[in-house]
Parts: sequence; structure tokens; C-alpha cells
Amino acid sequence: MMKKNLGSIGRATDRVANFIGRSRYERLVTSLADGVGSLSKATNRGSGEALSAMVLSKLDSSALSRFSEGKELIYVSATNGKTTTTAMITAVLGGPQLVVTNEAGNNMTAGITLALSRAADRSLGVIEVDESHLPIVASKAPANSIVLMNLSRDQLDRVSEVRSIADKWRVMLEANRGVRVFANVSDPHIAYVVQGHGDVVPFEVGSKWTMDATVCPLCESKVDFNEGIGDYHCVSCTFGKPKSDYVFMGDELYHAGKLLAIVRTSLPGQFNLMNAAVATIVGYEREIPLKDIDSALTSLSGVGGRYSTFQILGRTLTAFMAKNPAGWQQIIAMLAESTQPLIVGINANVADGRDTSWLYDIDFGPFGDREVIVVGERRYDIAVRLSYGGVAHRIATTYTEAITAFDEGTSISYIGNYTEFSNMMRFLRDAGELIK
Amino acid sequence: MKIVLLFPDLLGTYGDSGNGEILFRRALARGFEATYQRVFYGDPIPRDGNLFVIGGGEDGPMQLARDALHKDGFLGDLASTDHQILAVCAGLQILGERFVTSAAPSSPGLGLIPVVTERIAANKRIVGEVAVEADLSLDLPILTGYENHGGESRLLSGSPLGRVVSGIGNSYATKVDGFLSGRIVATYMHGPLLARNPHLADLIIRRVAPKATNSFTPLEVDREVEGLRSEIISNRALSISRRLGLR
Repeated sequence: MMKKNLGSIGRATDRVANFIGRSRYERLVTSLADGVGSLSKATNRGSGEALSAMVLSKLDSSALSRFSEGKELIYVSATNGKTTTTAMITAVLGGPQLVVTNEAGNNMTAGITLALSRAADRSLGVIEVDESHLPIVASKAPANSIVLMNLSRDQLDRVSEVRSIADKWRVMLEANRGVRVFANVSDPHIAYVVQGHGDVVPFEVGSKWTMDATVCPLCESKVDFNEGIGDYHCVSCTFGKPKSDYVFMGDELYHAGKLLAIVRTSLPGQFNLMNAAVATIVGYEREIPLKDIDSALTSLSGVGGRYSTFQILGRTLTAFMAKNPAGWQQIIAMLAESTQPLIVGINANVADGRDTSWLYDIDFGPFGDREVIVVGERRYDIAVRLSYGGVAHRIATTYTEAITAFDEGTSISYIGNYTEFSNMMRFLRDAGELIK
Repeated sequence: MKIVLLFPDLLGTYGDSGNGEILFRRALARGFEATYQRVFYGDPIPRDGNLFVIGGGEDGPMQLARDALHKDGFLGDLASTDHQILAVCAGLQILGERFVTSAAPSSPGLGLIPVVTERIAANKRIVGEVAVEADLSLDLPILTGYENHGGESRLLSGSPLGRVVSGIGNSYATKVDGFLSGRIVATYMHGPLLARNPHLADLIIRRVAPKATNSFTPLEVDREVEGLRSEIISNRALSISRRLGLR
């Protein structure tokens, strides 16, 4: 009974969080939990700890640094891939029994404080950190290592333009001289961030999205890309791609020019192979045997529902989350190889970004050959976008309508952005059955 | 009819290439022999273009685009030609007399429109849904869009695109958006401006082909656009009341 109630509270708070946005929700919970926190302390109730930590993270600015004391921390940040890569590195370094990690999405200060507060028994942490929260988190709880993967346009109404995040990361490293940085220098922003930093493990896993890095971060001239070989350089100053310790091509990971490993993962798509390569590099640098790394990466299942497959209303549905143009482009490239029909969902809540203009940065052309149904609170935005992109589609107002629009037994792919994906997950967990 | 999107690699931060694509698709649907060319930085600007679309971007790319357009000189001859320009956000700013970047408090623009842009006090940004009642001579339904800019623009002369009924527009003080002349439509409503406002897209196409007799009945996509416009209201993303007749 108790469990059931807690479950429904969880769903209700999820709904609130989805509606008002994760960060605002965290602020709201902080003030609401104030009284509960002190009460739980006073009465020594264990169950109040989490709430208390939540409260502390805001009301007591030292909570994060206190909970992080004595722990070795690895932070993972990026516009895309940070949740999955955090899960991969966690698996490679021994799994949640040995490693404290934060749940998907809880990647801002309060969520990280909460995760660390529950980990008195574990000394190693692999923590996903929101791009804009990384400098403040790193100043309160200095990391031993930071993994920086990529920066591209995302929620520009809320998060500032890409360049200013790169500048803030650079300043962060100037104040954290000792931290070891694993840097994907395939992305010019990341190369710029780590320039001049002492302890860098530079690697190249590729970067498909170059539209936010067309201007030199040093002198503001044009940056030229040679996408074939993944090279780039400024046309007027010395800025260009630095040399790397590790290079990943296809599924081959090279170290110092020699083939180190064939990277495999149970998660789909070239972008997840790239994430797995990052986890392999981090694991190898920590002297984890390559065969153990491989077995960790090939036994992962869905991460926070992403990539999971459900049996639903007599159909099979595999769910993908994509939040910004670079993320969508990766998923589209992967799904272009199949002809599975699609459900595409778009919301524009605070956590998604209020502005839907980014839909026009995505080339939906590869979906022109299949059945597409659009859903979500902003289904007409995506419908209009697909119309102009020459992709035929139908509009559904409910998930049931969308799913049953396809014949029974059909395998469907679903792509949704942040809060739309959460809504679909809730529907699938309630009405469907997880099969993998 | 040749539609040219200028520098999508520099000025395309907010889905701006959508405007070029939409003009092209609608022109084709209206039976025009339309072509669409995306001109990247460093490529020559085609002299036979009829309609030029310029989008928004960050400070550095914006200055590069200004320099390239200045050096090319083509758009500067606009007064003596019959081209049309649609300029959005940073595009509006660089067509003006002066604009501002983090590196330069006053940077010369192309001087095609009598607009001066200055940094908003305390580095604030104007961000959110905006709705504009277009200049009455255009006879358009309410325009809606999304604005996100750190500069305030002032018209030294001439007319704005319209009066702001929700949101901010050019500046906090003036309650107007953009600039309008016989050859230029400039606005802060970025990205899906023409996705949300197909009537404006059609008006621009008519301006490029004033002698055309093609009838402009609503297209199939326009039913979805109606859904989009009402969706914005029901989602409360836009703090405009239904009283404005925005459906």
C-alpha cells in the first residue's frame, strides 16, 4: 500500500517537474521541503534524508562539498550523450554497487547533492553534470577527472549561446589546474576549452554537428572543416585540431597510432558506439582490462528508458529521446537504415525549450519514405515542419490513437524530446510491457 | 524566381534556414518556377537572385557576415534594383546603420535601413513569444514569432513592420517590431517566422512577382498552421488572449 502511494506521488511530481521544468521544480521542492527536512532531522527519521539533502543543497551551500569529501569524482558533461556515457562509464568502473552515480536527468546541483548524500559507502563517483551547472558544481565539489564531449545549440531560450558556455568551462579549468580532463577535440569548442590546460587526455570520437563552431573561438575568423577526415583549422590564426592520444574511427579505437580495441555496445547507433569509445578510454586509462570493459558495454540495457522496447496495444515500440538538432540528426541517421514506421513527438515546456524554431535545423528528409504520425503538445509545429520538409504524416491527439494507427504486429520507432519522451514512457510503463 | 539564403553557416542559429525553405516550397506550390540556393560564407552571392533571406546568429558570425556582404557590395546596390530582402534578428541588425557586439560597442552596419542597435542595459536579453499587428497596409492577420536578442533597435526614420501587441520587439520603449519598406521586411521574430505566418510568406512572394496573376488560395499545410497558431495559445506559451482574434 505504502509502495503504491509513493509510486503515485512519484508520478505526480514527475508531472509537475515536466510541466514547470526540472530546474524550477528543484527550486520549488527546496522551499517546500524546508520544514520537512528539519523535522526529519529532529526525529532522526532515515526516510527524510533525501529530502533533507535536497533542502540542504539549496539552503546550505556547503552541502555539496561536504557530501563529496573523501570521494574520487568523475564528471561527465556535454550537450548530447552525457546520460548514456555516464551510465557506460559507471558500468565499466564496476556498476552502481561500487560507483555512486546520479539518475538520468538529475544532473543539476540539487540532484548531484542528493546522489552523493546517499553514497557514504562508495568512494568513487561518476556524475552526469548539466553543461551550465558544471562550473558551479566543480567549484563546490572539485572533480578528479572531467569528461567533456561536445557542445551544440540546445534550448537557446534558457541556456545561453554555445560560445558562452565554452568560455565558462575555460574559466572553470583555470580555477581547477589539477583536474584531469578527457577531451573530445573533434569538437572545436572542446579543443578551445582545454587549450593550455595541463592534464588533458585528448581524444577524437568524431563530431557530426559543426554548425555551432563555424567561427574561431580565438580570433573570430572562419573555421574550415574537412569533414571527411574530421579536421578543422582557423583560416587566419593558429587554432586548429590538436593531436590526440586516442582516435576512434568506425568501431576501431586507436591508441598512440596502434589499434587498441574494437568497440562494441548493446545500445544502438553510431553515436552510442562513440559514447562507448569514450567509456573505453576512461576505463583503459584506469587500467580496467579491455575484456571487462567490453563485457560491461555489451550488457547494458535501456538508459532511463532510452532505447528500450515495449509491447504495447499489440504493437512493438522502441523509444528514442532527442532534445536538440545534433541529437535528432544522430537518431535520424540511425533510423534511416530501417524503414520502420515512426511516431514523432514534440513538446515545448521549459525543460524542452519554449522556442521550437530548432525543428528547422533538422533534415527530416530520410523519413520521406515511411509512415509518420506526429504527437505531443506541439504536434502542429512538427506537422508544419514535416510538411515543408516533404515528409507525409498524420496527426494524432493521443498515444493510443498514434500507436493503433499502425497495423497490429507492427514494429514502430518513437522519437520524442525531453518532456514528451517522459510522457510517452509513463504511458508505456502503465499500458505496455517492457521487453528489452 | 530565385530565392537565396545568405550564409546559413553563419546566420542560422535559430532555425533561420526554415524561412528560405518555406518561401521556396510555397512559391513552387503557387506554380512559380522557383529555385533555391544556399550561399555559404566564401561563396559568391548570385547576381540573379530575386529574394534574399538573412537570418540570426552570434556576435562573431554576425561580423563575418557583415564583412562579407560589405566586401561583395551587391546588396548595397539594392536601391537601384528590384530585389527583396527578408532579414531576421542579427540580419536586421547588420542591415542597419550601426550594431553592437561583445567585442565592439558600435560596429558599422551595411546602412541599408535606418536602424541603430545598442546593447540592452545590464546585458539583459529580450526572450519570449511575440505577437505583432503588421502595418495595416499589408492587410495581414496578427504575426506571431519568438524573439531572443541582446540588442535594442531604434528606427531613425521609416516604418516598423508592425506594432507589438505581446512581447517586446525592437526595444522596451517603442513597442514596435522590425522595419518595413518596399524592398525590405526586417523583424526580430526568428526561426519559424514564415512557418507561423504563411500570409507574410505569400506577401513576400507577391512582392517578388508583382505581375503574377497566380491565385493564392490556402495550401494544404495552412490547415496545420491554423492548428499551430491555436496550439501556441492553448499551451499558454503566448500570453496573448483570444480577444486578439488569434486563431
